[in-house]
Amino acid sequence: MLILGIDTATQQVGCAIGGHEGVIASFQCARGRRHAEILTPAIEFVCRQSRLELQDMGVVAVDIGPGLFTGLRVGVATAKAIAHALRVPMIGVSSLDLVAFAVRYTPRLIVAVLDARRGELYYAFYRQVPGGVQRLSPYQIGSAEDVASELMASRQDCLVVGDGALRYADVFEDVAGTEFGEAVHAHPAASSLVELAHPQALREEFVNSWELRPLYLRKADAEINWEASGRR
Amino acid sequence: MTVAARPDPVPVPEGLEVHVSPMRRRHLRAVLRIEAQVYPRPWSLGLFMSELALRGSRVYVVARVGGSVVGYGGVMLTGGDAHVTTLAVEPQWHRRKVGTRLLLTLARTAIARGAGALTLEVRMSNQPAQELYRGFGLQPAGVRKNYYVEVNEDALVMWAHDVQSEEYALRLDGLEAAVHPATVVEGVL
Repeated sequence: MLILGIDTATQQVGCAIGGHEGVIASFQCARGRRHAEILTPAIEFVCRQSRLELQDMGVVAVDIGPGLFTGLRVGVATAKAIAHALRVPMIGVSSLDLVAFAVRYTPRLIVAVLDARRGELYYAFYRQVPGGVQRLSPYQIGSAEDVASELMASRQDCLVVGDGALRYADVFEDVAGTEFGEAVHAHPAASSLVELAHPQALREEFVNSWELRPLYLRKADAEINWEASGRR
Repeated sequence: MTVAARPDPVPVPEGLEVHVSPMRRRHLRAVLRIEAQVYPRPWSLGLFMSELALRGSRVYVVARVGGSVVGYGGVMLTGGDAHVTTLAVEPQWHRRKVGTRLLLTLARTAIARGAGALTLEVRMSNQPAQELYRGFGLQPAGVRKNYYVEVNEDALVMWAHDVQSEEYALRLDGLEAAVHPATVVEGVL
């Protein structure tokens, strides 16, 4: 079963094709943010270069965020449209899971940190397990100071990875025992998406295109839910 | 003895909100920074972590302005008494009723959890703090000799009894009414 992976959650645009033989083709571009203009030709490019047709895809996997609002919606909408047209199921994977998965070969506590703009970061904690990573915390949003505080409170050697980690490197570098993931791992990779989606596809852990929801994680949502619960 | 000059208070724009919420791990860096500024023998990260882990008998809160932690405090609930373990405000934010807001939240939470009395220790020379505590109905009840060994100073022990009474609730309401703008209390305490 072939999987088409689409990722537009950060300023990088990426797509990849893969399956049981691993990743067959991938494209990524971290320059500029014209996701809508880059994505469709990129999908066409990876299909053509790997001599496959879009019709050969059995699943469409997509990075559901959290990430940058506009870019994220381009990818999710495109992925939904393709899945709908091909009448194939979908698999949604979180951007933070993808960033952590790419650095899974470390015994350190992995902290995936993506820039949410407006001085905020999306982050989650992971540890290495055989074959991948296990998430230890919920997906969170907070300031660089919040993340640095959690790194310090973990009292473990950490690997902070993602564009948010690099942007606020000055805040994180004075936390003892912290190492940084390189720029090559700063964004979720479409190749990781295909790799992570494959075992899910084998287990038939699908969602329908009309059921897939992006993970926005905006603070406003949390506040709205809070007030709605009437606990104030 | 020297008395450190207080920095000028930060001007607070009209309507700027002070948020009081439960202390979490993500606040600890800022908390330790303030701790180091205001206490001669600051609590360690490990001590704060172990206090935070004792959810059943401790209440720790932070005060934040524009996302930054400007103060914090905590109480220990034991056998019907609420013992204020720490209360600190960043020096730049002194005289802004941040301590009042924190103590109000702590007192109300302690009372809601069944505490019948409030108590704390304060340095003999810390008059501004003692004034604040008197406002909360805490009365001097004794002295612990050389309690603050690092500065070789005695502690004044203060108590407020009958905090479950109607009268005490009115006192807290009065203190709250004098705080502007109103404190935004977030989260389950």
